Amino acid sequence: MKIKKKLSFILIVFFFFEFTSSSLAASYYKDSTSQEATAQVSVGKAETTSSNDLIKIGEDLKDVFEKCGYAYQSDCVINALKTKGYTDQQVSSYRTRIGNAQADCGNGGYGVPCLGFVAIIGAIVSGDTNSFGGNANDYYSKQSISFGSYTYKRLNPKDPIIAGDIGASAMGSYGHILIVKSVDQASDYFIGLESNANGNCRVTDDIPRPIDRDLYAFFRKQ
Amino acid sequence: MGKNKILLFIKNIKVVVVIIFLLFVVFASLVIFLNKNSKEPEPPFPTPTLTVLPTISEQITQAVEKFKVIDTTPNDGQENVYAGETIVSFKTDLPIRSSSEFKIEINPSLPYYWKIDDAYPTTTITARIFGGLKQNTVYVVTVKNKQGNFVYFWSFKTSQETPESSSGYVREKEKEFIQKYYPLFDFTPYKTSSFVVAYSDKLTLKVTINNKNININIIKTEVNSWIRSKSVDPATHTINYVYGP
Repeated sequence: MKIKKKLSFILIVFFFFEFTSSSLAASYYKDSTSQEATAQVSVGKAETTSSNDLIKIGEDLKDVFEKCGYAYQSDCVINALKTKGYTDQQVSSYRTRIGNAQADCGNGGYGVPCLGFVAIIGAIVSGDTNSFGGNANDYYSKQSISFGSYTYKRLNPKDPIIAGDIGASAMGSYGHILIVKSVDQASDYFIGLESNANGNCRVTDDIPRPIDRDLYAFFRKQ
Repeated sequence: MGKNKILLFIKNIKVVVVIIFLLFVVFASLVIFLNKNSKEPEPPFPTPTLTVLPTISEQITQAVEKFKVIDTTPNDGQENVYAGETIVSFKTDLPIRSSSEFKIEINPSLPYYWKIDDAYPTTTITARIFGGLKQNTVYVVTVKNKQGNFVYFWSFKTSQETPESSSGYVREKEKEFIQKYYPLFDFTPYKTSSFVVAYSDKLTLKVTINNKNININIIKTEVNSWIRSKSVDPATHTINYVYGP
């Protein structure tokens, strides 16, 4: 009698585990089939990159700032720029412009707002350390932007934009300015390379925006 | 015989007395035993009987209501403060547990607005200025407690320099703009094996169909269903269907 009871207990336990494991297997199978079914569906922004002087310098600065804890005038930043192949002249332009570009902009300490970031890039690429004065809002209504030997002309509303263009917004009191890092023409959006987009004076290169001329005016290198 | 009866009576009484005594002893022992077992253990610390102490939460509440400001940004009396999207903050000697436990006011009023970081508990309350401050202006910041009683105030003066940008405010306005005119922006481009959905203008979607053999009505149903799944009414959008690669 006791043996019979033991046997039935073992059988019950066995069937319980068998049932639950097969249920789990079935649920995994459902997941895998649903993944297969949705494998050809994708949502969201895919990044496309392009080489451009402004973009390359901007990405290098982002990398160096992050590596050196945004200590803009530190030896760490200067040496890292030299390691990346920037000439003494370019590093000197950086040093000269960075001081004027810094402001107490929301992170509890000094940082580089959007216009300052573009100004530093402009100084490194052109050697002009006096460009990009005023505020970002001013650039939204300009017909052209000049620094050193570089001139960027305003695009017509119907002109498609490309990576390396400069975008300026007039929203808010003092506006915002950025460099177009990548464009998806088919999906009508772009990703900016910019500083202070999140109000903390940090450089970002992952914010997508619709290509809408009510949001930004764009400027192209001539 | 009379004497014998008396003796026998006395003897019987003695026996009864002894029995009663024994019963009493047993009963008394039982009572003592039970009483001892049912006695509650004494508390390790004497409990106050006359004084009513406040609970821990009451003590904290009383303390928070008495918090002090021990540091500020910008400093009291500071001049040439950047008039852009800077921060205004204060540190307290006691942790603040929620936004209802303090009030912060600024005068004159801001051109746009500020947002207060909402991570609690904290000993640093940070207000982020969006859109910037007025140039060359003395601002007075006042901190009050939960009851609206004055705790601290300080002042600072902004510089004459024009701020470079108002990127934080621009980004906020952009988000509002995108939510209004491109409410599906975060979900586009949406690609399936049959079609791609992307914005081509404000509230205008372009659906590119890859295969001409597919019934367009099925595609339309699927697109509308996808739009509804994002809590957006398809009727709010113009949807253009085109055939493409």
